[in-house]
Amino acid sequence: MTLTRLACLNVLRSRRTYAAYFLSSAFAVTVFYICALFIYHPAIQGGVAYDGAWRTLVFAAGFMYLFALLFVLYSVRSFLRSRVREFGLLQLHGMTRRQLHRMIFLEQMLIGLAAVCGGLLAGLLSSKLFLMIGARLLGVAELDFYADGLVILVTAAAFALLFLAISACTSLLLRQDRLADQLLAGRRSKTVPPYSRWLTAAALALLGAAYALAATADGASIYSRVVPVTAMAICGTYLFYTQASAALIASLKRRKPLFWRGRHMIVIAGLAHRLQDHARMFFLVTILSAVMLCSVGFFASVTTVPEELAADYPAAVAYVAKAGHDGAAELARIEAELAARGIAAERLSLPIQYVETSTDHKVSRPLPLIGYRDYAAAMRLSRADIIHPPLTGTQALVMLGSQRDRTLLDVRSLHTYALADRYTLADQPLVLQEIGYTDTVILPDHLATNRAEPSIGEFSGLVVADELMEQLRDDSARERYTGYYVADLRQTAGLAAALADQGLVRHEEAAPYALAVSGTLLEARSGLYGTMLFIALLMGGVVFLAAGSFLYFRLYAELEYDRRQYETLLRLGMTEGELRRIVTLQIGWLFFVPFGLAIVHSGFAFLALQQIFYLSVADRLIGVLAGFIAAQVLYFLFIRNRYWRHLRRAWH
Amino acid sequence: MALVEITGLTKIYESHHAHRALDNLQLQIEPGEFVGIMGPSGSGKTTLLHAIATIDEPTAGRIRIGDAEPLKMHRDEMALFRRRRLGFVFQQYNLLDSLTVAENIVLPLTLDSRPVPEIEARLAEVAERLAIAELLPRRVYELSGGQMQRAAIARAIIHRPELVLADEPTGSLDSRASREVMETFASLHDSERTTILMVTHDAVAASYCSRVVFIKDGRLYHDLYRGGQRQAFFQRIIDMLSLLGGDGHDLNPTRLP
Repeated sequence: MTLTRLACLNVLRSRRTYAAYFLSSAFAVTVFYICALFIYHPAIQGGVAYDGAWRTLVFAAGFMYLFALLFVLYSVRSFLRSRVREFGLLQLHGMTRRQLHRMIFLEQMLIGLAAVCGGLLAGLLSSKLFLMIGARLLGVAELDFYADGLVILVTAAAFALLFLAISACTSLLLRQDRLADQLLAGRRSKTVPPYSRWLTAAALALLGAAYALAATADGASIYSRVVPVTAMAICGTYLFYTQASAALIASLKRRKPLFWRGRHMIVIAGLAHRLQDHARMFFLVTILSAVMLCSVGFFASVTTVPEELAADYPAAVAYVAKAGHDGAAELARIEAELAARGIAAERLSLPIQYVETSTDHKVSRPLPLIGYRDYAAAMRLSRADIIHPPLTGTQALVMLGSQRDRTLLDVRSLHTYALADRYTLADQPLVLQEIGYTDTVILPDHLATNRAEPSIGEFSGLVVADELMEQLRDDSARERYTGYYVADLRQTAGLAAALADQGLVRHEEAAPYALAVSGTLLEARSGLYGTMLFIALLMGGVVFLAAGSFLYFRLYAELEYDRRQYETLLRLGMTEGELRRIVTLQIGWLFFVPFGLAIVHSGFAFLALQQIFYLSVADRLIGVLAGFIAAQVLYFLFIRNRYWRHLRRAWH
Repeated sequence: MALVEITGLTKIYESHHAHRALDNLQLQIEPGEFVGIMGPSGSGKTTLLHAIATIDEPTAGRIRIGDAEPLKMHRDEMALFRRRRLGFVFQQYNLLDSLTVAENIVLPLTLDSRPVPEIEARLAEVAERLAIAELLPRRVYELSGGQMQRAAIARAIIHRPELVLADEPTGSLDSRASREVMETFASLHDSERTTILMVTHDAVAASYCSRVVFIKDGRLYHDLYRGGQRQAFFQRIIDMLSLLGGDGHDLNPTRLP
């Protein structure tokens, strides 16, 4: 028997052990291939989709590759660890270390190349489907099916290189123990891990604090809390598995009426043993699953943004002519295009007066003001119900710049603005006094000078009394806003492309006007977010399979050992029904302890996430969680039934 | 009335060629007997033990243990029968190493969800009886082979079974540990009149029995009852084994006392 043949037989005969690893690797290859297919697609390269979507795809492909690298590395390490005894026996019978490394290299390359071929084949077969879905999401006309030799080559080469590099490094992963120790490996002679009360308390305190901080985060504090809360959750999770779980089990074991009853003893002792041996694997699976749930949840939530967009842009086309520019040509063009499409639009035009605040004031940029009468007209056009009662004197309302600002309302305090010295009212210095907020956006975010400041948000200006507006009139700092309000924003997609090709000309740009075409913006964002969600789901699928693969491998690596234990129990008089329940519980621990903790982690992360969205994203997040729980339950049932069949095969 | 009554027990393994492991075997065991079963490899000793233990189904024949006929039971009833009325000792000890020694011993009682005070009382009693009290809090891997087997015996008797079945209990032990284990069995038999059925290769181990049954080709070949001295009984077993033929390695010369 040659070494190559030995390697092939080793892989083929333990195909059950490698099944999940093979599937996960192959799926990673498929996802990478599909990303690459989009990236290299002639239509997409030609620029029919938006840059953001393309960048997302490139990022996804890169992430997939990096993840596959780490996954394969970790998996190979556990495979090798579980075979120390076998390697010891081979060496005992005279295999040199060189031959051993060669055998392992061949084995790993065999699985790796099979995964590359399998993944590519799956990718080729399903690419038309993905191109159809992708085209819809990217908002482009249907992409032609194509199987580019280059893409196949890139994918195959990238992953062949990955497997080659890792297979070549296996000698570094192999422990250099003495042969005598290698032959004894696999015997379970571990002591019960000591646990410290302090570290247990620390685990619970860290998790509790992280949860509390996440649950109480608001729009202002969420950004500063993300990093510390994540770090606390990760440390807390690690300590939870290594310390708190041992403490919990020790206390369970002390409760004899519970522990010494029926099958509890076997189930709890089995859990203790698994937690003790696999604490790090549990930790890894928990963190992976939590990251996956959070990112899919996040991308599912940002797709609500197009709905927010309608609220952000009450006018379908919003135009601002800057000072010294009358804008008649652009407005005529917009109106002509609206008429050509047969869109009935209501038009509102209002002046925006920029005033300067006094130099010592912390808001140094010019402040946009509009009059109360125009405000009321705009509110009626955008069908807002609540119109603030008329303003008097120096009272002012803060205009929301976008729905995002709404999340800051709770924490923002009302300001006063001392205007520059040249503005006076009855010979007194003029001080504007904020008394409240407008109920909807009037001037969209990018059409006025952006006043973004960390503590006060991106509010787009103030509404003041009409008399004051008249007094402050200064044509050299006066701009004119014109909005066209239509029934359905989507009708305006692609309108005035000659004036604003991506739907937006920002106020800070050099053009003599600022313009927002919300239909175009909506289409672009839907495409981008749709793509992101699609990619996040695909990557979530890969991570999900990978996490499952770690569990699956553990289960099968210990199948023989467990079988002997269960056989003893059967002989001692346990019924098959009881044993089946024990097996279900034992596998259940493995599948649902890390996954359950990940669900709790992401639940709290979602509570915080809600703070940065104005619209409720709860239904989407619950949908994401329910979807993954359902997938996990199915996965669990499938593995449980397979495992039970394999166990039973020995007894019958 | 005999505690165990076996009539016409036959087991045919049907694989590539049919093999008759038990052939119309008859056997009776009285209450309080300590019976050793010996015979060459492949004579059907283990098949017989498995049939009595209800973990293997014979092709034909009847087995009565006390008032029960386990062969007529449903699978789950059989499991409960094993749990409550039989005790097992295996060659490989088969202690669960995720549990402590005490937890292993009380396993048959906890499976039945008996009250904790009762379990603890029984545990203390057996531990004292087998002089293993100091082992109780330890983990299984800390024990020597002989200690493990004594813990396994404690597990086999804690629920006071009608019949203890032992499958090569000294097969993995050195001669000193074997002697310890066999003395434990013998004293259980002497003082508590526990009925024990043991399959063994080891003539020394068999010499502790009150009766040794020899099986050849699936049939009862001979019955030996111990009269007086163990030494004399050992000699008669050796003689019988040489008469029985079979493989030379059945008789391990290093085990000669």
